[in-house]
Amino acid sequence: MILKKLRIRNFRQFKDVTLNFSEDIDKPFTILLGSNTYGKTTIIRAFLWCLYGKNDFIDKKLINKDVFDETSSETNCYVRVEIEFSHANCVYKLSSRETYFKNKNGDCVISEKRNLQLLKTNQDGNSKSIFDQNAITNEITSILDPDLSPYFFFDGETNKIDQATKNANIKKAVSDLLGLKKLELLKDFFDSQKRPSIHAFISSKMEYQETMLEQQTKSELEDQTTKLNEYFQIANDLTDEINKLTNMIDEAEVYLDSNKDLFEYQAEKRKLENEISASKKSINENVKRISTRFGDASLILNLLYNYQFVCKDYSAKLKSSDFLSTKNISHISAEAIDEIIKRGYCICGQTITNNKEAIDHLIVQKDYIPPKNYGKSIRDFIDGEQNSAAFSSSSINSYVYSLKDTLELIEDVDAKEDKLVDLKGRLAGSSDLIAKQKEIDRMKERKDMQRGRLSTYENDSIPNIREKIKQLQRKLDNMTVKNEKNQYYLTCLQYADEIYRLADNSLSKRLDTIKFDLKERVNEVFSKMYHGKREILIDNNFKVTSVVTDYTPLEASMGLNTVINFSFVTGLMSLIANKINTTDETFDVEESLDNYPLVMDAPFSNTDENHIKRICNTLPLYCQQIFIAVMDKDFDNAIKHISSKIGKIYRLEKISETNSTIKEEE
Amino acid sequence: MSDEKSKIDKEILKNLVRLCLRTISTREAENKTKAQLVSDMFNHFEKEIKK
Repeated sequence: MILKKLRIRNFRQFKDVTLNFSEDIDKPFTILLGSNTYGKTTIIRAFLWCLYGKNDFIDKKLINKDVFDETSSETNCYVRVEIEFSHANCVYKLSSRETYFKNKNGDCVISEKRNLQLLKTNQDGNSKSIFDQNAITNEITSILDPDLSPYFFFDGETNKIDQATKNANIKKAVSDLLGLKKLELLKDFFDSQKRPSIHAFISSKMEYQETMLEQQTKSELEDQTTKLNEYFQIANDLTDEINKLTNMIDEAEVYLDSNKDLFEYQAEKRKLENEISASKKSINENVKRISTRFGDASLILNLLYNYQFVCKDYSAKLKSSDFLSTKNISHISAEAIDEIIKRGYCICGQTITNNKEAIDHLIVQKDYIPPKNYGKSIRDFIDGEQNSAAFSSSSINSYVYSLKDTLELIEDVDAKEDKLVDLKGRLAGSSDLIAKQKEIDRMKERKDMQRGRLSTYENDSIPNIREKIKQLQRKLDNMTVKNEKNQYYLTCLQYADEIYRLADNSLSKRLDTIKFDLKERVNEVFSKMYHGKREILIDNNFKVTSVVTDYTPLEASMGLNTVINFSFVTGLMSLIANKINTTDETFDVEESLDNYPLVMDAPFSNTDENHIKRICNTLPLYCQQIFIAVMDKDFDNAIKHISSKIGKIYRLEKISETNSTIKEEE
Repeated sequence: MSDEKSKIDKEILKNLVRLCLRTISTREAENKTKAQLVSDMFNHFEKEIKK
């Protein structure tokens, strides 16, 4: 991979800048000069975003602020980074673009996530455009694995390669980089237990004794190999799914992170919608209850009529009137009583002339007949109305409260709906981030579940079935007919087995050699860059573990870390340049391995003058292309060591906080 | 079968490895399935071993 050109449009503080890289082996350095905050780190991050979608900015929005401000409401603007590079005799033009939408409230929303396009031109000049995002990602990964990217695209400001490569499979990335992928594929094709494999293909052509036992063993073997194949397929599918889920989770998290403010708006919107829905339900229930209970107007009037008795004290008025009777005799008149007293005997025939008690009783009865007995009727009426009035009062209060409650709810809903309209305006054009968060949670759950399943297949089901197949194969081999045709296939199988054995041995030998060579070369570079008696250790996963002096581990400082990281990547490049030397002639799998660029931001920011000199003198020995973004003061220390090796110099110019440009210097 | 290893001709083995690796290299360009590649590799066996 040799860089040819970088073009950046509307990316952070860059509106439209282009960098052409020196491809001259004798002048491998391309220098970008600039003070702090001028955009050096942004240039390195533009590479990482374009190639791998990495976005390490705290504010995740990439669009240039000026460009966004100038964008009309409810229209789109975009960010684009294009990298042109050559690799394995092909020229690649990779374009990465992200579209932003300005909603009517002026908020910035990502309307189309990073979209890649790749144009690949081979040495015959034939070009192929690739739009499939996965195909492009795979192609870029095969050129330079993202796990190694923190070494090749070095961000000196954070200088956190340890962290960036924490989960990286450096061993696989390095072995792929050193061309061992083909050997791994070869080994797979000659694995007798995998399907399809050469072994199975040849075995299927052989003739066996036509006995029941042979048929049975063959069919059992067939069943077991089919099963094993299914397990491999499941394990592959699970691995693919886990990788896919990991990428999707990463992408979705980056997206969520970059739209954090919108996420909060959406959470508020969701809360408001729920509240409005609950309030509307309460309003409907209230209206229903009121109309069921008080729907009839005459009922309300009746209640109000009753209610007035609470306010007017009719009992007191009655007490002060002539109508004090508490009893009532119906259908008899005062004249009738007077007539009975006058004639001296009752209607029952009994004499009352000399019976004072009876006469008095009759006289009292006169109080119970109209008009004096009206008091009783009025009292009964007042009592009745007062009793109803108590019920009416509570009914009317409940009616008033229900109405008041409902009106308050309606007002609250109105206010919330106004707020919701405002939020919807802010969120126009954005996707549902809360749903996305839920989707992330679901994906994580699924990933854990699939990991568990994969582990069962890898550690349990597959090894068990492999052992069964081995036994069955041995049994079947003993039943093979000893004819000429089979003899030939058996010879083929011997070659196939031998190729598998050699491929397996060669792979482990090469990986051991790589580890050993890598450590040697890394330390060779380290000893040139670092003036002290220290050694870098590399573990079985090809990761730098520690620095030791006389086998005593040391804690590395920032400056020392920089030197270690440079040593690692430069040692790796040295290994690539010199290929892997093994004594194994059969496996001459070495292809023309490519060179890789070193792209570095502030590489000297934590190093002293002596180390700058050593790094400057060492890097060109191993690296064919070096791009350095550096401050003038650091460059002043470096220039005397690299002046003859500089191909191009660019200078960053800061017009404003949101506008930097790049000019080539003579 | 490893006990019959002596029958293996180193030249044939080397050629087979070279041819099979070449077949693997063409995989991407020719867009072949794994089964097709196995068949192609076996053809190399037929040619090299029957020589």
